[in-house]
Amino acid sequence: MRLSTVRALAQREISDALRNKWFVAYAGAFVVLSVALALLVLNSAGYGGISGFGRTSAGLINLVLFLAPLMGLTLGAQALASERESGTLGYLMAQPVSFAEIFVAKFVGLAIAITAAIVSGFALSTLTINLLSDGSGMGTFIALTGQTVLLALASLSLGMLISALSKRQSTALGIAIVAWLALVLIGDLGLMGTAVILKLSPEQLMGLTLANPLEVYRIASIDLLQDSLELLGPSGLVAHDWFGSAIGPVLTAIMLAWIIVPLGAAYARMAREEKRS
Amino acid sequence: MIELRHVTKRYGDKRAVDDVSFTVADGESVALWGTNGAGKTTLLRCLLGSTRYDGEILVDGHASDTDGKRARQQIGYVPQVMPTFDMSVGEMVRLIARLRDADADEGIHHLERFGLGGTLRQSMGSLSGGMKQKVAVTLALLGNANVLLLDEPTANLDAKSQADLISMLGGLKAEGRTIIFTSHRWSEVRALADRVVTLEQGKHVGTGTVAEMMKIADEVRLRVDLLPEDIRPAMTLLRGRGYATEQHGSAAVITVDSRKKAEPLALLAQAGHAVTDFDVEDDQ
Repeated sequence: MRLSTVRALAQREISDALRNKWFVAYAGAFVVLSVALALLVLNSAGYGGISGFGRTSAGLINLVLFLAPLMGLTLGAQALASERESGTLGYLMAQPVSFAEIFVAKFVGLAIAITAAIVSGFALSTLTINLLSDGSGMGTFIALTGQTVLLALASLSLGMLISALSKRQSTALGIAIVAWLALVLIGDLGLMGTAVILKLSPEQLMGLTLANPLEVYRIASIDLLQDSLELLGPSGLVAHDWFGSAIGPVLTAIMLAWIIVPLGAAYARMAREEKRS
Repeated sequence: MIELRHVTKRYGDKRAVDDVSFTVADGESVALWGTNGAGKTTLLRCLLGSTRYDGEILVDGHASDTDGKRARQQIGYVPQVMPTFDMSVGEMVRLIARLRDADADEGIHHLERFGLGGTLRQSMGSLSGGMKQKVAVTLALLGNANVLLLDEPTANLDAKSQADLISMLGGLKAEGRTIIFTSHRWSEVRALADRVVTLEQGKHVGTGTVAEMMKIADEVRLRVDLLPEDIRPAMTLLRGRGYATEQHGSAAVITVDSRKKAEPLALLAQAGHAVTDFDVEDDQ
């Protein structure tokens, strides 16, 4: 694999992402809402006794749970299906490049674009909080930024798998939106409702939790912010019980698996299809 | 030199390319001739190594399947329709130059040479079909590609753009580039090919010089313009009578025996379908 080829193709992906109006809208909304949240928290300071970073982080988690997966899923869903549909993938494959180089460059380029959007939102919030308050709790805030990037990349990976399985870009986008809704709904109310109705055992509840990257992120993030276990919810309590003090590294490893496994499946599917067609 | 040995491409039970073998010498220009579905485009994809196949294809000694990147380094590819990349012509030249280990200035030089210097800042999507194909040819020349592969390069162009592109390709042929192109237009084959490889249902059924092929070519493509409301029943009628017919807008393009060109016209007239104009495409 030639790095210069991957770099050239990844730069094209970044440019394309910046021209993608949906991505720009989601990223813009994320940045604006992050800063607005920081300002809101600082204006209402004095209640609860948590630092500016802690309170902003708590608010940001809810924002991230909606926007980061939406960004990753929609961008990933368009990545491969649109190239195949428009013929640009076939044209690139006629150049002295391998499919692996195109695929890796696509993921790297899109990952950089998404990471830049998330880091911008968190960085501007940091700046706002540092300017207007004492700035304590920044370490946790940085760790939360890392977890958020991992969630966005897991969503991107899942989006690319959807794209690899879809013949048309419109189909891929539709499936991505349905997947996003399912992950958001299953993540919170769905999981609680299912646990009550089906009388799930702790093991089953844990399995359902780890099957949803949004839940993994939610537990990992709240665990970063709070010692108070009530905020973790039923699935979080079970996770805490199982993993104990290793909960952070375990959940991070699970999130990494959420990035690698769908991405590997997307690559295998596309490589097979490209050679067969 | 390009060597194809017993190349077969299967889609399930169907053989799109069936045991095809031939060689193309350096500096030679070869037309792959055949009707739609004859396997011409699939054979080009095998040459590019972008699809799996049985047999062996060597491009300057590099196997297009197992050593695809090196084989493709020798090949500049021009598709039937250049896909629209969301970037300017200049950005496109820089991207392809980087992928082909070439200098972007070389691409800009080619653009200027072919009168496209003014398009550098234009987006690829804003170019006309003819301009896009010319840009595709200049991109194919990047990295000093020895071999040009062209997939029906003039298929979707108007007459003026066709003539411009054929003249451009004629100049490249005169420079001694190896050219392999697919076509079902005699005008293109006559202008560019030294040799014609004929494919039929994936099989290699003959090879000859253009002069030899013209002697045995007994079919022409007759383009018949009809009223929009007549095109569907006319297509049904013609196909029902065994004519290989393609629909291009409100025109039917009929492959017909060169001595019986009037027959489909008479058939359409008898059925009450008004023919507004007709032309023999292969005699352009």
